[in-house]
Amino acid sequence: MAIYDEDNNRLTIKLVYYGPAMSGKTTNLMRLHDELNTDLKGEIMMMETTNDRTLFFDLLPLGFTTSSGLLIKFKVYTVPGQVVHDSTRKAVLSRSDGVVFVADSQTSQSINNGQAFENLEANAGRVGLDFDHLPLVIQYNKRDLADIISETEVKERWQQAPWPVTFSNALTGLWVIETLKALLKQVYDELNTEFKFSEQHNLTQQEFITQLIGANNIH
Amino acid sequence: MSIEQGLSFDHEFTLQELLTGVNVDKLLQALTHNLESSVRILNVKKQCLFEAQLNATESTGTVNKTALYGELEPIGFIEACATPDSLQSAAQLIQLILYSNSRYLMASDIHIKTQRDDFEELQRRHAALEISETKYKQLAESLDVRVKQQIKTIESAQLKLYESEKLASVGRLAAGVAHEINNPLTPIEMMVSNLSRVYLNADPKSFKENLNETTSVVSEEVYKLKEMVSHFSQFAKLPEPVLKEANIAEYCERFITQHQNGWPVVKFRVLTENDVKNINVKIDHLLINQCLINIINNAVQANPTKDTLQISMSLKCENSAEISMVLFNDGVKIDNKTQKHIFKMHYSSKKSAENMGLGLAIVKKILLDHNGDIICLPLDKGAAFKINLPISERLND
Repeated sequence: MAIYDEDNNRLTIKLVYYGPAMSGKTTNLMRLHDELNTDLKGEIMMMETTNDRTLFFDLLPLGFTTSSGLLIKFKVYTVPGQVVHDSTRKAVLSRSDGVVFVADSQTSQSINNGQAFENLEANAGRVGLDFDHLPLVIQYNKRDLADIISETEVKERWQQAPWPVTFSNALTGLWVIETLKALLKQVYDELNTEFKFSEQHNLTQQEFITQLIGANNIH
Repeated sequence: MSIEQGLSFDHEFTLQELLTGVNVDKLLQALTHNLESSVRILNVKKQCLFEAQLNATESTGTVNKTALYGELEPIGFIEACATPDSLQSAAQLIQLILYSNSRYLMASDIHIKTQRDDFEELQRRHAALEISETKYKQLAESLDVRVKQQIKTIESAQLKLYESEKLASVGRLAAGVAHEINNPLTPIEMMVSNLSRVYLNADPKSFKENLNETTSVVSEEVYKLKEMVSHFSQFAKLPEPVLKEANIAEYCERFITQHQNGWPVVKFRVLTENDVKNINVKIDHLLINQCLINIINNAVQANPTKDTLQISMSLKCENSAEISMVLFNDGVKIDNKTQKHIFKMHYSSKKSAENMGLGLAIVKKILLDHNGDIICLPLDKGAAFKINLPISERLND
C-alpha cells in the first residue's frame, strides 16, 4: 500500500525480501546497494546480531524523481528469517507493495523454504494483504553451491504458480537485479492505475525500472 | 515514541523526531565552536528549531545554509557564517547522529509494535479460551440437569415396574391360592354328593361305609387346606428379627449338628476357611434356621428320586463388610429362567400341593430384614445359593 504524501509530492513504495533464515535476504540488499545506479540511494541500515542474523530488519532507501516532479521513494526491507521473530516479520510485511521470496536452493532447505512460504502467505493474510494480487517473485538463491535442487525441479514445482521464478547467487550479484526487475514490473502494473504513472507522470513501465536500477544495469 | 501516536515504525521521521534524546545544547556548542559562528538548525520548512549564539566576537560574513538529509531527501538545514565546505562537514556530522538515532527509534518502535501485537494476540487467545471454558461449563451444567432428569425418569419407571410386578405377583398368588383351594374342594364335593345319593337309596350298611370314607377324605382335604392357611399366616406374620451377636462359623456347625438327621437323604459337608473363624454377625437364630431349613427343603423336594443329596455349606469373606455363606447341592441344575424368579412369591417349579412357592420368598424376606441378601448362583451342575450377611465384628486372633 504505497503512501502518497501530498505536502512533499512523494510516493513511498515498500518492497520486502522475505524467506527462511540464512537464505541470503540481507546479501541481496547489500548487492542492490552496491550495484543499483539510481538518483537517490541512502545508506543501508542493518540491524543484525553479532552472528550476522538480522534482528529486526535491514532497510535500503532508494528513489528517483519523475519528470513531473514526483519523488518516488522505495523502502526495501528484509525480514528476520528465524521462526521466533514472527511478530517482527508481520510488522515489516505490513503495507508492503511487493515481495521477493528468497529461497535457499540447497536440497537440505526444502522444508524450511516450504514453511517460510506458508508463513508468508499466512502473515500476508494477517496484515490484510491480498495475496492473489500482491506482486511477488520467487528467487532461488545460492546457485553456486553443490548440493542444490535443479532448475528443472524448481520450475516443475512452481509451474502452477503465477509468480516468476529466478535463480540467483546474491554473493556474486548474479540475477539479483533481474529479480528486482521482475518485481518492479508487477509493482508498476499494480500501482499504475491508482497513481496514474503513465497518465499524469509520463512514466512508462520501462522508465520506472530504468530510473530505479540505472540505465547501465538494463541489458 | 512515534508509535504511541499511531504512526508506523517506518514512517518518515522529521528532524525534530530524529533529534529526540540528543543533547542539542552540547551539539550546538561544539558546532559554534568549530564553525566559529552562530549556528541555527532549521526544519524542512525552514523554521528555526535550535539556535546558538557565539559568545565571543561574532564573525561577519555571508550566512550559508546546507541541507541535512534523512534517508534520501532533506529534512532540515544548518545555517552558519561558515564556508560551504566546513558547513558541509558539520552537516555530515549531524547526519551521523541522525542516522544512528533513526536506527534506535525504528528498532524501539518495531519492538513496541511487536510486543503490543503479541500481547493483543495473547489477550485474544485468552478471551477465546475463556469463551470455550464458559461453553464447557454450560455444557457440564446442562449435562448435569439432563442426567438428573434421566435419573428421575428411570426412578419413576422403576417405581411403575415395581408396582406392576407387585400386582402381577399378587395375581399369581391369587391364582395359586384359588387352585390350591379348589383341589380339595373337588373330592369333598364328590364325596358329599355321593353320600346323599347313597342315603336316598336307603341302604344303611353301605351308607355307613360311605360316611366313614367321606369323613376320612373330607378330614384329609380340610387338613391340607389348614396346612396351606398356616403357610400363609406364617409368611404374613413373619416376625421382625431379634438380632443377637453370633460367631458365624460356630452357628453353622451348631445348625448342622442339630439338623443333620432332619432329612434322611441329605449328607452335610462344611467347608470353612480359616480367615472366617473369628467373624461375628448379628442374626436372629430362629429366622436364619428357618432360611436354611427352607433352602434344604427346597433342594430335597427338587430331587425326589435321589437316594443321597450332598449339601455343602461354605463360608467365605469376599470383602471386609460382608460374609458369604454358599449352600451347594449336587442335585438338579436350576435353569436360567428359574434363577431369575426363584425368590418370587408363589413361584414354584413343582406341581405338588405341599408346595405353595413361599419357601424361598420367605428366605429372601428374612435376609433382607437382616440387611443381607440371597442370590441363586449360575452353575453347570447342581444348585447353589449364596447368602450375604453384614459383618458386625471381626475378632483378632
